[in-house]
Amino acid sequence: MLAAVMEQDDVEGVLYAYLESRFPALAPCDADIPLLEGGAVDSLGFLELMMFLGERFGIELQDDDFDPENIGTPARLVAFIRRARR
Amino acid sequence: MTSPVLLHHLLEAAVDGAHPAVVHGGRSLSYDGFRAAVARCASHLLEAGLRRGDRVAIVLPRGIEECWAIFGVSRASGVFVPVNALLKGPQVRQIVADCGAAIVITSRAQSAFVEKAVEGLPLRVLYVEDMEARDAAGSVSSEPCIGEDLAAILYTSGSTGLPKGVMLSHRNLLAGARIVRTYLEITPRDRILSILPLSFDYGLNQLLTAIEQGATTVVFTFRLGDDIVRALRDHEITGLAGVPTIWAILTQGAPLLRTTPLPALRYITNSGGRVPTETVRALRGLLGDTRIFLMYGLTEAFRSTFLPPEEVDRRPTSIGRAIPECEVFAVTADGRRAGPGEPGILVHRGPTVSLGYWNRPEDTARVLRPHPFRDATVGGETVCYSGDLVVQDEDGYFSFVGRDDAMIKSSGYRISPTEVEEALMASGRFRQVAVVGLPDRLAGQRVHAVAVPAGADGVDTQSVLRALGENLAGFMLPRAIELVEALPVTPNGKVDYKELVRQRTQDVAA
Repeated sequence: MLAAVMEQDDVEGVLYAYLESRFPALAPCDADIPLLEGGAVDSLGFLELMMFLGERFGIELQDDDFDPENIGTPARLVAFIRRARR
Repeated sequence: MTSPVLLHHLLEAAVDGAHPAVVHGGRSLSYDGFRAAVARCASHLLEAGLRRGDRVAIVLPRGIEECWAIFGVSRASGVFVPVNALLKGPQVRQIVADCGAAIVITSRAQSAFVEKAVEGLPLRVLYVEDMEARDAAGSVSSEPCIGEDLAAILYTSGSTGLPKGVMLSHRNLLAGARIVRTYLEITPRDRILSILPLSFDYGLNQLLTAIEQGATTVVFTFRLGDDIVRALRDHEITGLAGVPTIWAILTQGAPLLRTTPLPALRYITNSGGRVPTETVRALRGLLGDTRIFLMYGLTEAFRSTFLPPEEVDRRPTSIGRAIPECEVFAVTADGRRAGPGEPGILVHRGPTVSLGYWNRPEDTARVLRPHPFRDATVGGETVCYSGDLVVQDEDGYFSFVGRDDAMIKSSGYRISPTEVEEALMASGRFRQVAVVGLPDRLAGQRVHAVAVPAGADGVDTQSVLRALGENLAGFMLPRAIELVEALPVTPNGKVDYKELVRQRTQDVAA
C-alpha cells in the first residue's frame, strides 16, 4: 500500500493519495476543492473517509468534529488531522 | 368513500386538509395544498396534449414537487416514470427514450441539463414552476383509466444490458401501499422520513403508504450520518426506511446517535440488501424500543417479504415471510418446491406481481412465468421468479443466499456489470473488461473492474475513472480498475466471473 510506506508525518501526502484513489473525480487533489458539495464524495464515501482517518491516523471522531469547518476541504482535513494527533 | 382503484384516489380519503402532507427543508405542503398542486399538474399535462397511457418522465431533484407530480400524472391518466436525480445525462436519455416519454417534467434550475439530455427526442419538456403558477386548476377531463392500466414504470438494472423498465399497474401500487401500511401500522399521526429516491420501488412505496393514511412525509437529503440523526430528532420522525448502507452510516458514522434519544421513532425498515448481524445488534442497542423490520422486495414484484420485529433477535439474517395478501416459496433448479434448508429461487405470487418489463417480452418471459405447480386450466396465474436464491428454515422463515447471475448490488442499487463494462470499453483503452461485485463491509458489494489494456503503454486508470464519472452515476463507478494480462475463461470460452470473484475474495481471506 502506498499509504503504508509513507512517512508518518506526511499527512497531506497520505490523505491526498487516499482521496484520489477512492474518489477519482477529485484527482488531481486540490487543497480547496469542496468535499461536501458537488457530489464527488457521497455519504458512504464520507463514512469510509472517517474510518480511514481512524485506521490510518488513529483519530476517533467525536460528535463536534463532524463540522464543515473540519472536513469541508482537503486543506481543512489536513489541519484537523494535525490538531487531532497532537 | 369507495375503495380506491387508481393511484390518485388515495388523495380522496377523508383526511384533515390542513395536515401537512409533505415537508422539505423549511417548506411544508398541506393535504389541501397537495391536492391543489396535483390538480394543477394534471391540467397542465392535459393541456400539453397528454393522452391516456402516455409516459411522463419526472426528472426532478428530491423535494415536494416530485411527490405531487407522480399523482398529477396519474390524475391525467398518464404513466409516471421517476428518474433518479443522481443519473447523468446519457443515462437519463436512455430511460426517457426507452419508455418513449411524451413529456418530461423538470424544474427551471435543471432545464439546461434536461434539454441537453433529451435533445432531438420527440417530446415536450414541462416545468413545475409553470404548473405552480397556474390559477386554480381548470376542469380536468381525461379519458379515465381502470386499475389494470399502467400507472408507473420503474427503471432498474439486471445482470446484463441497460436498465429495464418494470411496469406497475394502479392495482400493483395500491396493493403495495395497503399491504405495507398494514404491517407497519401507519396512521395519520406518523411522520415518515424519506431519504430514498422515488425511482426505487421501496422509496416510492414509502410515500404511497404515507399518503394513503394521511400521514406526513418529510423529504430529506443527507450527507453525514449526524444529518439523519438531527432530522429524526427535529422532525420527531416516527418511521424511517433505509438500505444497509444507511444503517452502516448510522451505527458507525453518526456519533450524535449515541447521545440523542429518539422517543418518537416507532420503527425502521430495511430493504435493498442484507444488514450484517453486528449492525442489527448495534441498532437494537442504539435505538431502544424502536421496532426493526427487515424487508425484502424486488421491483418486479414490488414488495415481497418482511420479518416481524419480534423475530429480529432470533433470526437477524432472515428476510422473513410473505407480506400480507401474498405467497412466497422457493423452487429448486429441477423445478421442485424446495424443502426446509434446501436452496431455491424465490417465487412470489400475489397482487403486487408487476406487468413485466416495458417493451422487452423475452426478459419478461424469464421473470414472469406460469405458476409452477398449478396449471392455468385449473386457476394457476402468472408468478414472479426473483432470481434470488433463498433458503427456508423449519419455521418457514426465508434467508437470502445469493444470486444465480452476475448482477451487483451495492448500497441498495442494482447494477448491471455489462452496463459498466460497455462504458469502460467505450474509453478505447481496453481490449477486454469484466466488472464484478466484491464483498464490502459497508456497501454490501463494491463495483470492481478487471481490465486488459489495449496497448503496451499502460493505462492511467484514474483518468479513465474520472471520465467515466461524466456518463455514469457515482454509485455505478468502479472503486478500482485492476489491470491484468488476461481474464480467466470458462471451458466454453466465456469470461469466468465466479473465478474472478473467487480469486479476489481469497486474497482478502489470506
